[in-house]
Amino acid sequence: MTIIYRCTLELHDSLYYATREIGRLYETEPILHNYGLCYALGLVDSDRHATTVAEEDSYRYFCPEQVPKYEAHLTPLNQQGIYVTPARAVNHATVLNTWKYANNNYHVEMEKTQKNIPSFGRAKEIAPESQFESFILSQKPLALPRWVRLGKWASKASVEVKELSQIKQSEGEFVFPHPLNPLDVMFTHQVLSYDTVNMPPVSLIRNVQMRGHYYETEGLKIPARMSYRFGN
Amino acid sequence: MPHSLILNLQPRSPISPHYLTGKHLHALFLTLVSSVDQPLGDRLHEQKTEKAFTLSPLQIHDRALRGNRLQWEYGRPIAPGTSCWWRVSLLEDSLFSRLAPLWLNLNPAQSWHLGSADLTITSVLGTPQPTQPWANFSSYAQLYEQASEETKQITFAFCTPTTFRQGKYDSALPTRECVFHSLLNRWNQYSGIPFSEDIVECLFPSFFDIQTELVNHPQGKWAGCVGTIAYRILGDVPSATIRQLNTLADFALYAGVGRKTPMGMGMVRRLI
Repeated sequence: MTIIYRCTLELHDSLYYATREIGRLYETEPILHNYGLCYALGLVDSDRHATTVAEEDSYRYFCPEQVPKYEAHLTPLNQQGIYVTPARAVNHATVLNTWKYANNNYHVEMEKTQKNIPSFGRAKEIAPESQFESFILSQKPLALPRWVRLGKWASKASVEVKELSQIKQSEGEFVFPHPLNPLDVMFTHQVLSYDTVNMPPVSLIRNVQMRGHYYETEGLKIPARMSYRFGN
Repeated sequence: MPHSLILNLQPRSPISPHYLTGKHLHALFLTLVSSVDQPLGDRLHEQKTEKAFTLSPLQIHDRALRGNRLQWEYGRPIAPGTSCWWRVSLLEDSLFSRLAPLWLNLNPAQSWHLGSADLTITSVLGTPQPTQPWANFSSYAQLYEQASEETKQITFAFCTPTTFRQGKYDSALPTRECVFHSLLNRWNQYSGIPFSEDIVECLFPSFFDIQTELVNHPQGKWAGCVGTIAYRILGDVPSATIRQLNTLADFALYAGVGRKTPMGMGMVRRLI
């Protein structure tokens, strides 16, 4: 029996990651990717969730190489029947911060630079108190952290989880207004129409009209049989 | 299934007005298609008369709407970081799914070029939006089934200059034959639900607020019609014909009307 949680995240700090870089402007799209959410919620390489990965792929603070290992990290979640959908902004505001910095090394072994050139730019961040919402589908009850950290600044966010009740399963054509990862639904569902949000590493889709199996609860039809898939 | 897609774009460097013409946007679309499906790009490039897609001129997001008109000419460059949108409509049933890798694998780090300007595609809207009347999709069967059997008034907004081929020459006057035969030809070509040509005979223009505007093209200037025009279905007309005419009117969002629709001309939307 599948358990579905509605997971609400509320920002207590401003959230930043670069969805897009336009010259010196770094923009944060108000949508949380499901890959990132799996890491933030502590589901990857975890003893508690039985998603431990091979030693060479283990998720450590220090990584010898900066190469994402989504496939190695997320496949154990498929085996445990855990799936997290990307989160949409329920309500959000943005703030634009200008930053600048100059080189102020205290100890320079190389020859000193002749000019002190400051670097500057602007970051569009998601403001505190913004709320995001995602769905977590699981084959067994999950214990999730009360607080998580998100984005490049490791911004603090509170997590509220509510189990949805009276879940019915059926099949047919339906619309799911929340964001989805296309790779995770395209192989099990016929996707008819959608909007695309362009973001790395996999662009997300929303307002998806699709045909296939779904769970119906609280007036919402959530696609069933979703799992992490990787295009090769 | 016809799709009307809105591509939201941001230039990383200024786009010169010189590169904002229909010809350049047409070339950009074929480059986008060819990047995921070279044979399809070649095929669309070779289609001479009835192309299976239409394109709008590039639009700046926050510009105050001048009635129902869109912008087709620019006097100044578009500045970097400006939010712009661009409409692409696809008429052939399979085009949307064949281009799925394009909509889904758009790498934000990859930029597309309009002249010397780099563009980033930020999102693609393919479903109806409260703030964007140009995004939609519907199957041909749905368009037909959902069309009214009773509505006898059809009002069109000509949002970019529209012109029609009449024999050897062009005419900018949107007569019922010009407008509805243009829609009918495209409908019959792509829908698989053919309508007869004589259905237009019961239409009569009932209101018009139109004028001619010029569009610059490398070959010279084109005169086109912009504004609002309403046609009324008069006489004792069978409900099947009324439904067919309403279907064509709804289809105008996707098909556009008249000539040079793949170059930004003839963007037409039903108002009522």
